[in-house]
Amino acid sequence: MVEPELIKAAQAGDREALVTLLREIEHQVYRTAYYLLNHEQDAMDAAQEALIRVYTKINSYEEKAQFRTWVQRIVTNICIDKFRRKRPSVSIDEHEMVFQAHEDVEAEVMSGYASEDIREAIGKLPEHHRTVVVLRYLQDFSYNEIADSLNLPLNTVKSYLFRARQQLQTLLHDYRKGGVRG
Amino acid sequence: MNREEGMELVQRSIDGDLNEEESARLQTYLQNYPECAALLEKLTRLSEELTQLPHVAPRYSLVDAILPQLERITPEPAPGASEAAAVEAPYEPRSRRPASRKTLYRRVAGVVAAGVVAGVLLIAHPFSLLPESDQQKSASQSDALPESATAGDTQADMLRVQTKMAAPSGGDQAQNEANASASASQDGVTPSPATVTGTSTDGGAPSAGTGSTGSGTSAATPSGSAAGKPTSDVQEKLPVAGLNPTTSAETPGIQGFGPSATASADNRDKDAREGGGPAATDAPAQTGEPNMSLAMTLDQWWQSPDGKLTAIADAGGIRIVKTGQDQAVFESESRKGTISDVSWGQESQDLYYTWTDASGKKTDLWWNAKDNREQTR
Repeated sequence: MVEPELIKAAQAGDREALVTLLREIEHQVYRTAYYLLNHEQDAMDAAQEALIRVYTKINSYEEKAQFRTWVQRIVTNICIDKFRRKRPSVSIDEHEMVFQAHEDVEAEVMSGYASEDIREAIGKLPEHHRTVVVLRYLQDFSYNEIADSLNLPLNTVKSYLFRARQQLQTLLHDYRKGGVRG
Repeated sequence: MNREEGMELVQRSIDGDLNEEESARLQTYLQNYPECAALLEKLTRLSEELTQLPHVAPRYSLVDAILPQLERITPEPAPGASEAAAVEAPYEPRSRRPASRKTLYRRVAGVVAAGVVAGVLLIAHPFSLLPESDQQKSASQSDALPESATAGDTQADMLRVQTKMAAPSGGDQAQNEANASASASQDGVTPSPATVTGTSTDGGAPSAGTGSTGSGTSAATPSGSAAGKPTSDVQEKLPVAGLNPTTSAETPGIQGFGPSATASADNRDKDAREGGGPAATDAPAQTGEPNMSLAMTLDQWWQSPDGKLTAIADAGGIRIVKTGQDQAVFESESRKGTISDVSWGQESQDLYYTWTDASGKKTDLWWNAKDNREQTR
């Protein structure tokens, strides 16, 4: 939780306060980017872009919104722009990762879904569903906070989240049966 | 409770969003729909696993990585409401915001008005917009050129020019010059407004004996020279194209006499038709010879297919030199008249041409490398 005083100091022109603020939100920004983009380097780039945008736009933040939802709005917008631009492609690293995962299929069945599998499944969701899931589970946002971040109606957020969970359930179930990966 | 309502309760229960009354309704519903109870179990488990996803962290500090960049950035001042909305508006590409038609019309009207004013100024005072230095340069070139123009057609009339082929990067400029030249020559002696940047004020009306005037800038000179074709004997016989290898800023004097050697074949052809010069296929193609230093007369010249030799018409005579060198391989007797219909044999060993003497009599001639002599055909 970023202290309101720190935000005010940053907005007042205290550069050190602004950099400190960025350090406090750095991990949460990266986490969202990582799970939305499902690619480490892309996530680094997007997170840096988001931090720079927070730095330059800090004075446009108004107290009526939660700071963390404002930050998440910035990073999700950047990520959505990125994966809209990105053409579907499979890197060599991803291929290798898939093969490793397949070798461990039985172990995964015994111990529940691997986080890697869940991350892969999240990556297969439509962009809005994916974003809602990430904010819900990686940022621990409530329905309302998600709605604020994404500027979506509350019922739409619920609808996206419920559908996303069912889609994930189906994807992971199919995978367990020998699946639809890749 | 229908299935849809029941499923919503199932989902909301996963998120801990049910009050007591809703929880009780859910229990009743699940008793009636056991398959939904199984689904709730699965989704609850999935949700727990989602909650346990690792909270990944970057491999290095992102803030440290961008600190140098941040040093150069100043946070923007608090924006107006519209900008704040733009910053925070999710999923709204800026291009989708409808632009005000009024603003668009104003902009278009402004551009049109500016264009009209600029056009009127250019037509009324076409050269007043040139920088003073360029006008001075133009004047100095005008002064320099008559000397060569009045020199006649003897060896002493040669204008020895150290030419440097334009560097490849200058190709576009040379091409533009050539194009400007072609358009100017089509216009005859009157430069059109379109060639205003390349023509001097008096380039279109050279006085007899004084030759053409240089043009305003070195880059645009050829068009001025082409438009202002000189009236001296030497220069009248010059084909507009193909005369000079590319000129550079180092040789402002020669720039008035022809386009660069990088003139396109089309332009050479066009100029040849208008100036009685050689066909485009005969015109020397020296584009690919950088740093060529050549003593060149103000005559017609044709490069051999292999590029090694260049034939130069000197009034009624012909001279063959090694391309890029002053050294003559062959030189015919000096004679009056003109040379036309010049063409090289495919092997670059033969040169065919026609000499028209002062009385108009034509003689077909042929030079071959083996004998290195001129013969009638």
